[in-house]
Amino acid sequence: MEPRHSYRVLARVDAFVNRIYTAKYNPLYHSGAITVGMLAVLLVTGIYLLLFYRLGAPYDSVERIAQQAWGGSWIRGLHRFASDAAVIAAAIHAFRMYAQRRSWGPRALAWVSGVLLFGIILVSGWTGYILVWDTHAQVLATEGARLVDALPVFSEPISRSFTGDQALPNAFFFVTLFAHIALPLSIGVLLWVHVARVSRPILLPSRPVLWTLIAALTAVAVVWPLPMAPAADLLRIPGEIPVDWFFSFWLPITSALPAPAVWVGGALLLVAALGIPALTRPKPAALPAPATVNERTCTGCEQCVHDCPYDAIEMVARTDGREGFVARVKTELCTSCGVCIGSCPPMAIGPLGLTARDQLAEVRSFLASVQPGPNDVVIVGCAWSAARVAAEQHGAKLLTVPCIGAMHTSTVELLLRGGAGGVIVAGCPEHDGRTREGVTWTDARLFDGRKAELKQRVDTRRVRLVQANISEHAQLHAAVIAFASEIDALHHADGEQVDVIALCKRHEANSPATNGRLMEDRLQNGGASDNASRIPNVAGDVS
Amino acid sequence: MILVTALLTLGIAAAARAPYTPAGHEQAWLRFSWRLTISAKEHCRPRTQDELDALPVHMRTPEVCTPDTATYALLTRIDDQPVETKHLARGGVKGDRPLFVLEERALPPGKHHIRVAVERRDDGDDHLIAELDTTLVLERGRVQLITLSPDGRRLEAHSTQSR
Repeated sequence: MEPRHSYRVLARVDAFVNRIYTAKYNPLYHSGAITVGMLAVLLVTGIYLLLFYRLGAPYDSVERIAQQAWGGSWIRGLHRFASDAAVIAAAIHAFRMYAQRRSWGPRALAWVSGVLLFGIILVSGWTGYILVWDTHAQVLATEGARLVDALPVFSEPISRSFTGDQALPNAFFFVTLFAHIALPLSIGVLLWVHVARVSRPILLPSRPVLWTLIAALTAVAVVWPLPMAPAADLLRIPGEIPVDWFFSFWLPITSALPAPAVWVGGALLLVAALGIPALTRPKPAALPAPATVNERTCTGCEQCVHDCPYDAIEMVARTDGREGFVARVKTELCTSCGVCIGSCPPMAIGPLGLTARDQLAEVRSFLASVQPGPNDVVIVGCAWSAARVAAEQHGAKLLTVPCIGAMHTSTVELLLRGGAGGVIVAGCPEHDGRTREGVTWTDARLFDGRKAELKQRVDTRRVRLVQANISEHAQLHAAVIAFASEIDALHHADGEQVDVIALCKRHEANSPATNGRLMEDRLQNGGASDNASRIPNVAGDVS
Repeated sequence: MILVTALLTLGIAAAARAPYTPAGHEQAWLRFSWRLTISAKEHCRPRTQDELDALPVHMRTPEVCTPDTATYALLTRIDDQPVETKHLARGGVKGDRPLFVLEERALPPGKHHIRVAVERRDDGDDHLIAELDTTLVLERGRVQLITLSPDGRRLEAHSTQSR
């Protein structure tokens, strides 16, 4: 699946932010978790503010809070700024999911619940601003009442509560406060639904990101305290008032339109947002197939269950007469990300046409056509990484895979045994993976022995994992140049000209019964891989 | 990194207090707001024998009633402008709920002659419910509230004391 234009825009922004914060701490990669983190900050600061809020004197009590030099002032500011940060982070998170094509199929539940969560955050914020009962609250309340009165819901127009012929009753602020507390509680339930279909959901950003953000917002709240707008006066049309644009962005639009038009426009917007999963779903012919399991070769090791980012694989009792368990894919939850492909030592799982055996067949075809030499670097990358551009810039050979997380380590081994001097695996940055943990698992499989691990017989000096998004081709290009010179040095040092032969010798020692003739041929030919017929069949012996 | 973080958070803080001017602050406002409870009126007559015979036994009530068909209107005349008449509908799906009035007029600040009346109209038989004929000095950005007195017999201009 090719990246859409919005992803290229996102990747450019990510690349820029990566240069400032590094990919590890890029806040854009943690946008969803930052939203939850900010909601936690809102909860804590909100409890403090609740202790001092008085229903009978809303404005006066908030003013007293704002005058508390050592507590209330900055806590109120942090409460406000954290809510703003939550809105920004949620909007970024939604855009990321859309741009990365992560909004349809089994992920539709997360998208729809996310839209509802975003709406609840906005409405909850709206009630919070009403509670202050300053001029900002007055404008929000009267405009909200005007819109609600257009609906045939209440027998008496609620706008009549704001005409100024009598003071607002405490009950109004009680109901508003109740909504301000109850709505965030519903966020907890929806958040559970939101992450129900992912394994190991990350609900909070890494501590450095979270605490840096909290510290920065607190510092601003202390250094630049929030002002108190004048108290609401229903018999006065407010002049210029300070408005929080993250929650009141709709005011200039709705106030210029008749209420029915606002409702129609809002309903269309909501339908469009909820309809994104249907609108972005690929056409049936382009729909990727869910993963399937070859029960005959599945050993029941459960690694695919551990690695699946979407909790879409379970273990069930075998039905072929053998004892034990076998993996089964819950197709309704499978996003066809392919991470299970790389997790399976016996290559027993994966979407049809994209299994590890298919990958190896493609590698053989690649080797036959490209015929990489001992000084050549082969880049293995997906269409969403910088691999293509970097390969063109450097003249490196490029092998395209659907996702790095779906790459089986035997692919790398086969490329090296097929004559390539080195292999660069080019994936997305770790926290930006479209397949969530795909890059993380690939790193562990290549270098840390996670199943399906890169075999010890492979010289890992000739393998490099580079994380760079589609806009970071310069970084990948630099990595390719550096790696190529390392490979060149390896090639010339210690008779490294025969490094591939050494590899083969080690392999032969480990598997004396396999490919012995091919090894001797290779030795006789000085390790050069100029003949595709000498490419060993890794699929047969790697397990 | 520190500079960018500081700028971003300052940007959030600035957008959280950016100025906004609601429409209408430059003008003075007249606001008519009241709730008029109207006792239910029905016109009833005995059913004829033919009407009774045409009905199922369980529906043969002795009288047939039709609801009050009277309508209500708000008439306003400000300075020398022509009289503006607005039809007022009673609340509820059946039109049997109290009548709510919430109307606003934007005017230039200054002195204005205001004449307001509420009429009941019943087949050409117009009946004045309440009226107000007064001169008011309206201030910029302020709302002059006009309501119905508690006994429902006269319209009153409230003082513009803040609420």
